[in-house]
Amino acid sequence: MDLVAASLIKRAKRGEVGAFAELVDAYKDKIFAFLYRMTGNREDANDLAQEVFIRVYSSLHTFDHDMRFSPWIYRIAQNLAIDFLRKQKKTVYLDDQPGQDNDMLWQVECQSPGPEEMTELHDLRVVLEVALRELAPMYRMVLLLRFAHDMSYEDIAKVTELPITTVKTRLHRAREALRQALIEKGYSILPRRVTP
Amino acid sequence: MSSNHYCKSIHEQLEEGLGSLPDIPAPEGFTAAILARLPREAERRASWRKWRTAGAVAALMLLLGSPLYVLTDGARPMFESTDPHVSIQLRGGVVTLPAGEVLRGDLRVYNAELRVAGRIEGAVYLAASKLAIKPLGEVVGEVHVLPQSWLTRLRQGLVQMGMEVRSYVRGALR
Repeated sequence: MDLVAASLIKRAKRGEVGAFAELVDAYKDKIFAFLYRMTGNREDANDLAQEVFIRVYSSLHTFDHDMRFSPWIYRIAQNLAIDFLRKQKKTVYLDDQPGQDNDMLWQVECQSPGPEEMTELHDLRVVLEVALRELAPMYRMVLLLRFAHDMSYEDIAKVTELPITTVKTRLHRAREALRQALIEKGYSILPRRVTP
Repeated sequence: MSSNHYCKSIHEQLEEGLGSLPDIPAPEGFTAAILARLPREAERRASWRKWRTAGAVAALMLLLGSPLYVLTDGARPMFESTDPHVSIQLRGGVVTLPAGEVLRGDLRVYNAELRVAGRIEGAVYLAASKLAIKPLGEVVGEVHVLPQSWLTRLRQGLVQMGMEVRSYVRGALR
């Protein structure tokens, strides 16, 4: 993906708007999803995501081809998200509220995966979306980058401009905070037995 | 628990859950909305790029063009007059100020023979050139013989280039 992005950036730098459009198409869903989960609001995420790409376009000439594109664009996105959240100064809730049934219990027994577990996995996603919103932004960000956007520790360190050791520590605390958030909401998670 | 099974840790399950979070597609028309915002930005950048390119080309022409002219074209006969209204002829290495013409200013001649049949009220500068004053010719100012230094050659190159550029621009505007 980054190789394709590098090629598109080279063309965009030469003024090919079509290449920039391809770049936007390739990254818009990821960036939008990241910002949506950071801000909790579709309109804000849309505005911020547009701003991300405008900034990418304005800064194309500064892009160093020795770097990879993903960490670069996510860094722009996270900076905008942090600025936005600072300005908000209040808890932001998602405009569409999945899993409004707060009494819902997510519990996975030690059993083989089956249709029921698939349903539970869906429930887990819903519950996680809710719990994620209640985490501190710094925890939410590293969890999303690491597990929802498959970033390496090194890339997260580049995005957040933190040392790798700090990233690892923050991830560990974020997982614990997430687990705690789930428990506080009445969800319990048990170890699950699966076929290796 | 049988031996071919193991229990996934709670953290692993959380990670798995986070990894399976559904995609959230950007709104319809997202790319188009961004592209609609680009022209002004693109225009600003293109304008800056155009001027930067023009500046770079001009600087390059001056830096590389002048020595190149000096090296490749420096021996070409030419003249430089401060009076644009006078008619001076240049043919076959001979610069001629015809009889009856009055040059109100200075004249520089490079790599040529200057034949003065008219009147020059200013000074004459000769670079690798000869001077012949015809019976009716007159030079009121001083006559200087310029040394064949690199500075003289560079000046000649720049003047020559300026003439070429002016000629090119005039041609393009026509």
